[in-house]
Amino acid sequence: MAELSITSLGKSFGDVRALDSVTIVAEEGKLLTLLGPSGCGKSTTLWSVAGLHTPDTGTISIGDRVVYDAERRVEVPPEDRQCGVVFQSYAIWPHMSVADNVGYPLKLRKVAKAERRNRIEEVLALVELDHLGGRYPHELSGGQQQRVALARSLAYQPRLLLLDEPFSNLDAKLRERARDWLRDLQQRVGITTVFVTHDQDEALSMSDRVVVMNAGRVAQIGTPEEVYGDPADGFVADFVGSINLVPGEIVRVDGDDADFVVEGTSDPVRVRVDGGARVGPGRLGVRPEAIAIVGEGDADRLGTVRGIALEHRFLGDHYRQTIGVGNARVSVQTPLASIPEHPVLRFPDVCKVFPASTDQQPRPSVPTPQETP
Amino acid sequence: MSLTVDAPTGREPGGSVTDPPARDRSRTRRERSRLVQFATWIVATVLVVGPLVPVVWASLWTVPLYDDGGAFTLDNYGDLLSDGAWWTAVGNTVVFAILTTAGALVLGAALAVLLQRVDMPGSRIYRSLVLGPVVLPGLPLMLGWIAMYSPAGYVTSWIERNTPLPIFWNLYSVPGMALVAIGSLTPLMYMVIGSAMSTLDSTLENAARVNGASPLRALFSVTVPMLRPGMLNAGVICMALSLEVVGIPLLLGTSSNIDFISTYLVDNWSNEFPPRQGLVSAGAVMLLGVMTLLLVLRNRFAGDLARFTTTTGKPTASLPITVGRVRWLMSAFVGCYFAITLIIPAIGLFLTAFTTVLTPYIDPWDVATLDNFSTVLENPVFRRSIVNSLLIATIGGALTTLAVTTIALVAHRSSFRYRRSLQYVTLYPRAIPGIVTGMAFFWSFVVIDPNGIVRSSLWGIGLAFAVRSLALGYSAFYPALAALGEDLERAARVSGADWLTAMRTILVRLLRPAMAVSYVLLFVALFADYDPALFMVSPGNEVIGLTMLNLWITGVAGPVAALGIIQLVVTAVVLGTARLVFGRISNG
Ligand SMILES: Nc1ncnc2c1ncn2[C@@H]1O[C@H](COP(=O)(O)OP(=O)(O)OP(=O)(O)O)[C@@H](O)[C@H]1O
Ligand SMILES: [Mg+2]
Repeated sequence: MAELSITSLGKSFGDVRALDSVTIVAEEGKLLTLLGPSGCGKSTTLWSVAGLHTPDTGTISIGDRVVYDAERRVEVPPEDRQCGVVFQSYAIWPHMSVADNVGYPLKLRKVAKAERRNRIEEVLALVELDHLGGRYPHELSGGQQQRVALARSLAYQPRLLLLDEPFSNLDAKLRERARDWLRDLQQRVGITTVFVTHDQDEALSMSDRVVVMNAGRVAQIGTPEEVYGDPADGFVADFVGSINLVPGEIVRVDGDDADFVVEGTSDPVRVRVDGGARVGPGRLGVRPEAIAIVGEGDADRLGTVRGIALEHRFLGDHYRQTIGVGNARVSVQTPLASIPEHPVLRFPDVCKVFPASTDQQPRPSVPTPQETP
Repeated sequence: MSLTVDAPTGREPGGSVTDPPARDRSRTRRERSRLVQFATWIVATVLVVGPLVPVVWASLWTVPLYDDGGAFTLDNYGDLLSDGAWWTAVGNTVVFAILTTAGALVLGAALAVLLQRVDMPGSRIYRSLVLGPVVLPGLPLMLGWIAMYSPAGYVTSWIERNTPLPIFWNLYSVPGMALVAIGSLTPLMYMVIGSAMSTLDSTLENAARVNGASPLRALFSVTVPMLRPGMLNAGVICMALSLEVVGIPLLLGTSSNIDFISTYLVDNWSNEFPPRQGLVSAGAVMLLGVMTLLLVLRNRFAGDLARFTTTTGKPTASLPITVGRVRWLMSAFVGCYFAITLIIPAIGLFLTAFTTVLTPYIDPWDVATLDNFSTVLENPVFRRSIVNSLLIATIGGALTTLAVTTIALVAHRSSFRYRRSLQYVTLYPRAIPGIVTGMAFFWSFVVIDPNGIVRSSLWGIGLAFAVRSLALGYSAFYPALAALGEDLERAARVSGADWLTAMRTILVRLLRPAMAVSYVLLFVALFADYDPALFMVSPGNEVIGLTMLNLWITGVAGPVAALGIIQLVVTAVVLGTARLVFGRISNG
């Protein structure tokens, strides 16, 4: 195992800028997740590390060994990088039995037969498939295939484990179990792991650190708590979890406090703004679960605003209320279905204000927070 | 590190990067892969494009390349273009090609619609019958045509004798030759158009039917117009094949002195004294130019490889069109087509082989004999031809399969710098007429092997045949390769395999069935091929097709027909066995 460090990685496919100056460090023995929407360059990053793509610029080193350096023209071929890779398609070789699949990397390393057999058994036991060594891939379920792929990538004790959306072919239930199981396995083995996903739940629940990527760039790196609780920009806030981005204007700043006027209303709401604020248009970022519906008695307190109950949806363990505030539709999470017709909302003690729609993706003027089931 | 939580060993895995010999080993492995890729590229390019260089050179040189001296000249082209006989030959060929293309396209499209879309009795049998002429060698059947339909043929004589019907055809004329060519090319047109038709989205046709169009109307207003690109593609293929055709004019044109481009070139090469080899080379270069243009044109209509990948999509079953009682009429019409083009000629070939003389004036039973077969087995030329063709087909087929596999892997699964060009190199032989390939290899051997050792051996002809069949093997092989996900070899690479090892242990293993199919097709093609041998044959390296052609022209019909039957039977047995074996594989 080793630390992985990627510096200023750039890669273009024709006109498409797939990676733009990506810098990431994956700490030794930790699990790092690359999270981002489809096409943001997660796979390209991972494959550049494995040596399956040649980037255009930057450097990649694994431990103290430089495996790619554009300027010094260093490029170690994939077979010498010692990265275990699990592909989205699993890529298990259909003409080999499970044991042969797992033993292939060992055979290439000329590991003696007896030792090889032991090792295959050991790794298959690790992924709880010890009884299936003699089977052929087409005789396995999707979840078992995925574990074979994992066993194969771990068989020769690689320095890095790279996983490209390994769970995307599994059903929801199995995916959840596989998640826990993999996290547990990774911690036991203690291998530096880079995990690619576009599923925020997966990223938040498994990772030591999360890299949120957007359009070939790193939008934020941090612990799951940091990227969720303290998103660096509107994109991260919106992509990780669901958030209301309420359009409006800061009309007055007073230290850490600011008066925010929601578009379409006249009365300012006083909120505490994290990291300073400036007068002008902006979007107030609040998570649905951070908004409380308070009684009429609290209506005049700081940080409250009155809205109109528009609709609600049942989401299993809670209700998702949509409440009109000025021009905005604000999502609020409540335990019960019924709320007053004109509820009083209280924003959390600390809010974040994002610049008004400077994101690449144009946003509808009325934000519709994405649902988290 | 170790995976087991409780037993950390701290040992670096085998072949660690910190270990200098391992690093050297990996460098050698890398060099090895690169070497294989580069060698493949060089050899393929040299074998396909290389031989064309001496042809061009010979066409621009005052003396044949095997003579000393000589200088640059354009006279060969001047001589060619001022030769009236050349222009007559060009005229005949063009008229022939147009007639053939028109006829084969119309019949092929009609067959495709009738056999694939119309609910018609007997269409299953017809669908398998139509494949016969595509995979079986064409020459024997052509001999059957002559035996039956030529002015002195069995059917012609029988009609003259027993009916008042006029004989409106004459095989020994340009339209007559076109008839024979239509008979042999229609099945191919059927396949090309049929496969274009099966990739069409039948939901469009169904949509038209839902909106009230009658089935036939839906067919003609929706499907037929959408077939236009497929028809164009088929037409260009047919045109190209008609321009380079050799067998038909040699068999049918010789007696009435009708020259085609190919026979004009052959005559000036071998029947003139002194041989006009410069002029012939010039003619070959011009023919090659036209064929190359046609190939470029064809790639415009149908991306060569894209065609194969789209056909692997899921076929949407389209409802067969019901046509009521007319279907019996249609079935009878198709039945007549097969009787005339396939069954009667096959009987003709059969009768010629098993009788001493075939005419309606004598009952075949009175002249039945097996002598023709014993002649074949006793005559050294016949025997050698069979052995040689079998050798070329078995060994050449195997080597070509290997070559095609290697080329396809380098072209599509490596990071080799010039890999794109390799694909064009492999498909280009499709545009090189057989006789030009023969001439090209003849001149090449003259230049690099002046003693003619390779040229007069079987290896020379085998090599020319193999290069000619590259495109065929490649087209049969490529779809299977394209269907294999690249992650399979990426997984091998990251597991520690260099490119060569990944290809050998993963892809080649998985592609074995495709290689076997390629091999069977190449066997059949190499066993039947003869065009390139026209310029390379010498006593000792005869091949079946050319022997049949040469001896038939000199009037030896019975033994040639017997040889044709042997060729057909061998091919059929190989194909049948393959079908049985692969059928079993795919069934379980
Ligand atoms: N071989 C290629 N040729 C051209 N463009 C490519 C190639 N591979 C990737 N791209 C482009 O690079 C960008 C990043 O692709 P990448 O595969 O890294 O996305 P991703 O984040 O893994 O997306 P997904 O979640 O859909 O897998 C995309 O815009 C993609 O279209
Ligand atoms: Mg991806």
